[in-house]
Amino acid sequence: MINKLYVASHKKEEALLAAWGEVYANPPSEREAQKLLAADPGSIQFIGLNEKGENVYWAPLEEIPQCLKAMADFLPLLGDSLANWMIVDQDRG
Amino acid sequence: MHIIYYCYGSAHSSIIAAHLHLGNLPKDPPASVEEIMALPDFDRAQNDDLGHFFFKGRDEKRRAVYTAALGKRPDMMLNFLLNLARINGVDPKAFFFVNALSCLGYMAKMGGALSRRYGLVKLGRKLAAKGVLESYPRLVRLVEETKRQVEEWERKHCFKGRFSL
Repeated sequence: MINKLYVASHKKEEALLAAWGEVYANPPSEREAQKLLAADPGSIQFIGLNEKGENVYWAPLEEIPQCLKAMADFLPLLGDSLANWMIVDQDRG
Repeated sequence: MHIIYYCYGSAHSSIIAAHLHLGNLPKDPPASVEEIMALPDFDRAQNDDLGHFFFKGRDEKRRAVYTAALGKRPDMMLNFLLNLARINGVDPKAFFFVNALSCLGYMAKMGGALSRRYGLVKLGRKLAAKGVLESYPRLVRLVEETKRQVEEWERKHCFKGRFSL
């Protein structure tokens, strides 16, 4: 596993805090959190490296099942694969 | 180089655009209702297909042509996919995402909804095919403009025979 992607449609802030908590000991500052939460839907924000050396990302999405199907089909065109990604859907808990 | 025609469900406008691009449908005179309805993938996609990409073939310059069902939030979906490209170090401009739905008129959309959403396949499919004919000139222009832009991009970014995506 190389990348870990936290996604949420409804629980965006929870997903962000979970992603952040995986990388940093302290929660994000309010300013940092607001800046990230203002990101356009669909954008993928790099949070940092976790202790396993995996890239941790956070993405505010809509229609998550469709996004993940598109991701699975699109990644091979980039020379990547969904097998390299762990998806954490915060809406599903 | 990847050319991806997208619409809501990859059932109508993107299918016609991809077939026009690949030369499977005539540009002028336009295809007939029967030719459109005979396409194996016209008005066939299911709800489960939302989000998926479908490889349709390679054009005369060996570029890969796809259709994609990007649902009701295509801008968000494109943002997500192009972010994935950037993360992978791939130039997002190597992907031509083309909105085919914008070419479609009311009749085709209504036919499509009747067939795909409400299960009135016989009526809806024929109406969608007739609607597509109404929108045909716009779809032809879309494909021609896409090919022009792709060629321009290739002229700027590719060295003959040495670099291809």
